[in-house]
Amino acid sequence: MAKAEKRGAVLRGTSMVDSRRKIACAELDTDDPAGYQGLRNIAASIKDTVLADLPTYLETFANNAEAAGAKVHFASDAADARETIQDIIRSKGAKVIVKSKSMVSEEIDLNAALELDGYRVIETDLGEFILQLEHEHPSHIVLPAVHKPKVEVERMFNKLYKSPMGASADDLAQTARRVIRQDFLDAEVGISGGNFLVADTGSIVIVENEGNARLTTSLPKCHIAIVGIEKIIPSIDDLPVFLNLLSRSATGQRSTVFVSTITGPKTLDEPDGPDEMHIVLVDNRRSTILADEKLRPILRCIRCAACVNTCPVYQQIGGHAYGWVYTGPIGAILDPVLLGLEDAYHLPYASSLCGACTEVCPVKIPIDDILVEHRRRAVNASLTGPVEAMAMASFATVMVNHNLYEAATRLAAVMPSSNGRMSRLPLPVITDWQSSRDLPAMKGPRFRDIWKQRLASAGANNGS
Amino acid sequence: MDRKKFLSQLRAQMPVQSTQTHSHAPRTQRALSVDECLDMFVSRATAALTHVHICESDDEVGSLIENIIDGASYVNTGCHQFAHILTNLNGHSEQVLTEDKNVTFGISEARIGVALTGTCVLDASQHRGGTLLPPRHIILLNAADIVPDLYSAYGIVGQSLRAKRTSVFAFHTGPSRSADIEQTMALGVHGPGDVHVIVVA
Ligand code: SF4
Repeated sequence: MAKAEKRGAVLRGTSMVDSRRKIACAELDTDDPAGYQGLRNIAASIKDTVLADLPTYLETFANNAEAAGAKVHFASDAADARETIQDIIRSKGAKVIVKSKSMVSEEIDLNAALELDGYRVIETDLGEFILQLEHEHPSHIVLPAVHKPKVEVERMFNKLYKSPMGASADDLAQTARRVIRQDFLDAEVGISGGNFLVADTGSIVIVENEGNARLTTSLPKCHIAIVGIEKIIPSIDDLPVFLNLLSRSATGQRSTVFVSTITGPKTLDEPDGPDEMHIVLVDNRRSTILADEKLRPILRCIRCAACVNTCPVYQQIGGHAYGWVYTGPIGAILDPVLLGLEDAYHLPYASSLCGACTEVCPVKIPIDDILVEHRRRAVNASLTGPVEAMAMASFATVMVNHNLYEAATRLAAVMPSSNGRMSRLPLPVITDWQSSRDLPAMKGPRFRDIWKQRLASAGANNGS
Repeated sequence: MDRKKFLSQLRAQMPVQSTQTHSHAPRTQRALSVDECLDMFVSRATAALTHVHICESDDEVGSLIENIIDGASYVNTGCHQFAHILTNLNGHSEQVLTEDKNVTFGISEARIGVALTGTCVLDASQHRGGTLLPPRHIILLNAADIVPDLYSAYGIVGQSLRAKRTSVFAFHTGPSRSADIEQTMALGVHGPGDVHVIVVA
């Protein structure tokens, strides 16, 4: 597939969602008494309150979730999380496992481990289903297949399911629905992620549009939710703040189609639902971020991808260029901690520091400050050579030099761009930088390899 | 990993406790009158691609449902308040099924409506499969149960959870959709692609 076609799909997809986000967020000024900016402040401060005392909130959550009949597990790293889940499933005699979207499961490479155990694992989110068929990874945390032109899906469904070429998006979706439906009915285990953990009720909250997460958490007799420890909010009364911000920031919707608040397995007098519910809380280096005051705001993230959609660099290079699970600006600040700065130090450079990401972040993470902090640490640790240092200097020059900045702005105004946004201006600089060293995209496969090796050796250490 | 060990390791890693004052979400809601709630619900639910109908009497509800289902099969997912309307319905009623083989409609009852988002809240008294598997969904909603916003709705959910555990509160806003194929919206991907809400005034 031509690169240009993919880039077109990424640019169109992200710009469309970005403009919807703007409209939907602005509406909060009339819809919510706190207004959009007020809500951002409240959300950030609620998250900071939790993070300052995370162990206590986790304990409260675990106690309440278990009082509601769920079993709560704590996993310190990827290997621990995978083994915990493998143990649960082993006792079920399962063959088919349905999954709804979970970035943490990508992070710990869960599917590979389960497939090795001999289970059939089906990603049921339409985008992830398409990617799974082609053994691809998501390139975006909310729109996993945003890089995929429709014609590629037509071709693949034509080959696999005899769906006609030129089929409409509706027809393609119906084909996927039909294929996946049987798996839903057969599956013994459903694995989901979770957007929020509610401490005072012990509930997990899942936000989605397709209904696949509802089915995943309703039909199989055993539901396993796998969630990062930073997803806690104190009270169910706080939830509306985050739902208002998340759906509007992620897709520009007032509410996503389905929002499930799940509190334990089915009760005796309820007609259906899972008999068993497990919640696996995953650290996997999040505690490292927690311990670092400068980086800690990263853990406020609600994975809305607003920063990704608005990022001029992401729009140009696409998600796979970042080489790992979390992409765009959030990936550029998160991956260096999760993977280690030694391996991911170049990611914080995939930014023009235009600040667009920070401006749209619903929980007010100072993304560009953290990018600079990572760069500073990379330089101090002598991880970067002279090329990066130079590139950094040239970004900095453009951004801090008033005259240059003005000139570049004028240039940007006459440069063709998706929406004439000024933030695209440093791109020529990036292009120079890219041509003077490896393209970030070249790093992709190597990155996954590093991670795989690390997972494998961690697994070996644990005797699996 | 053992919970005690996990939490004590995490505690050990925390920097000196910062004095963070506990902050809470504002409990303020949008002040909307009953009529404004209904109007807002209709316009916001419609914007989310829900077909909204308003009925004044049980008879009206009954004949509207017959009209919509047009002889197709349906399943009552657990209507109590409106059960008497469904018993007299002209149509092919199915037992609650975990499979959706030949059932076209699920007919459910909402516990709460949310005006500003056009949302219907279903609790776990409704058969989950019945609300998700059939390609079309009819939700009955009492106009008096429409609240202004999510703050009020989750206030009710919280109260209810504290009184008695309910395994799920499902907020439904419009038909199942996906934009995963090049940002082109497709309806009915996994859940119902056609959703009718009948508001009983
Ligand atoms: S960093 Fe902010 S904008 Fe980006 S995904 Fe996280 S919450 Fe959304």
